[in-house]
This record gives sequence, structure tokens and C-alpha cells, in this order.
Amino acid sequence: MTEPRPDGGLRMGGVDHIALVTWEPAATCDFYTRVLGLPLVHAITATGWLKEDFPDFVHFFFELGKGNYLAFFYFFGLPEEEPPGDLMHRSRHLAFHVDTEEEMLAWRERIKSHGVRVTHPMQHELLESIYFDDPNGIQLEITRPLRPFGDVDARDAELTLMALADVAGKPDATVQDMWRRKAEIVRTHAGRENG
Amino acid sequence: MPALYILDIPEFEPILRTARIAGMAEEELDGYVKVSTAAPEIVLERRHTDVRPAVWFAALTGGLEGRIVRFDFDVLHLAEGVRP
Repeated sequence: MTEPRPDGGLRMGGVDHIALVTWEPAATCDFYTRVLGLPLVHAITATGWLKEDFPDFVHFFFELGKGNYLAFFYFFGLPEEEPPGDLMHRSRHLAFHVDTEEEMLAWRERIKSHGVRVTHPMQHELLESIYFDDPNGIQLEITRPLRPFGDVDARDAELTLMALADVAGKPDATVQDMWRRKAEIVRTHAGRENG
Repeated sequence: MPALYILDIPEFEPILRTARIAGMAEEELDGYVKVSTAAPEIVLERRHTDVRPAVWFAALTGGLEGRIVRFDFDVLHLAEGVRP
């Protein structure tokens, strides 16, 4: 059973699976099993019973470890979608975790050795990552922590999302507007917490 | 007076140090340091901080007062007022 939170509330037990769609099932299976070494552990095949216009499908699962799975749908007769633009391609991605720089670099060599283009490591704020695409053009990332997330990060994230909620959706809102609002929120909260 | 609010995490420490060396005023705000000067402008150069671009471009994540005049790979320039 998933360990309950200290406050007794409900808690998610991690990701069970993420489901993506492929029009290239053979290449997808080859890539995830051979290049990334993920076991293929389950495939369901069915007619589209869920609703009338749901196509017949195959739904297959690769094991990521720690109870996590990566699943794909293949739909019969479904016209292929247009590939996303560059920004959405980079934004909607799946990142695999490794603990160390050595593991990340070893993965980079392995992926390269299979003829897959992979970026140089890129250091973000708290993560370092390499990027590559699967045969579907889905961007994948292998990332390692530069340091663990701390309480200060979580509290800052909370204030940032408060600032974002206050400005997002307003006409012509900019990141600068959010940063100005953030400063106001930081001042308010510091005053409150210091007495 | 413009100000930037630097989140008190190790990644931003070089930016705080650079502001300190430039003689800016500091105010502790419970996990953030507000950095400001008596002058109407703040200019920080990345070469003095030696932080990587991902950290540099996140330097305002704690918030700002005033407006951004320039914020690129080399310079963070804030001025007073909301509009030029």
C-alpha cells in the first residue's frame, strides 16, 4: 500500500504509466527495448469498444522500473498527426531519471552508439540533462539532480505560482509583471512570518 | 529605486556576492535577499558572477521592483519606474 502522508491524507504512489500514441510501432518497440533497454511487458489488443468512434487498437507497455511503465497506443486506420512545432516538441517531453553524471554520460554513449542524435549535457538550475528523440519524434531527456530539491525551493515555488496566478491570463501579461507581483508577495509573506 | 529579490539558494549565491561587492544594500526577507542601490539603476554583469546561463536567466525568480532595461547573456540592467 502507498505510504500515507504524515498528515494522514491521501498520497499518490508515483507514476503508474504515461500513455503516448505511435504510428511507428515496430520502430518504437525496437527503440525502447534495444536502445533504452526497457522490457516489453504487456500488450493489449482490442476493438474500439470504449465509444463508437474509438478505433481498434494495440496498447503496449514498457517497464521503466520502480513500478513505472511507459505505454503506447497504436490505432488502426488513424491518420497520422502533424508533428508539433519546435516549442511544443521541446516542451512536451518525457524525462528519465539517473542519479549520477557517470550514468548520464554512459547513457549518452550508448544512445549515440545506436546512431541516435543526442545533445551534449546541459546544466539547468537544479538538473543536468541530455536530450534525444524517439522514433515518433517525442523528445526524451535523461536527467540527473545537481542537488536535491529543498524546503526553500518548495516555498519559493508556492510564491511563484501565487504570482503567476495573479497575472496569467491578463491581457499582455509578461514575465516582468509576474516578477513585480512576486516581489510584492515575498514582502508580504516575510512580514507575516517575521511577526 | 529598482531592486531585485534573490532567492537564497546556492545557485544564486554568486549573483548576491556580485551585488555585495558592488556595494548594494541588502535586506533579508525570509528566504530572499532584496538587493538595491540609492542610484536609479542596477547593472549586473554575468562575467562577474560566473554563473551558467540557465541560472543567470532565472536570476529574477525572486521578484523585482522597477523595470528591465536589458537582460541578456551579458547584462542585467534594471531601472526605476514601471515604464520607460
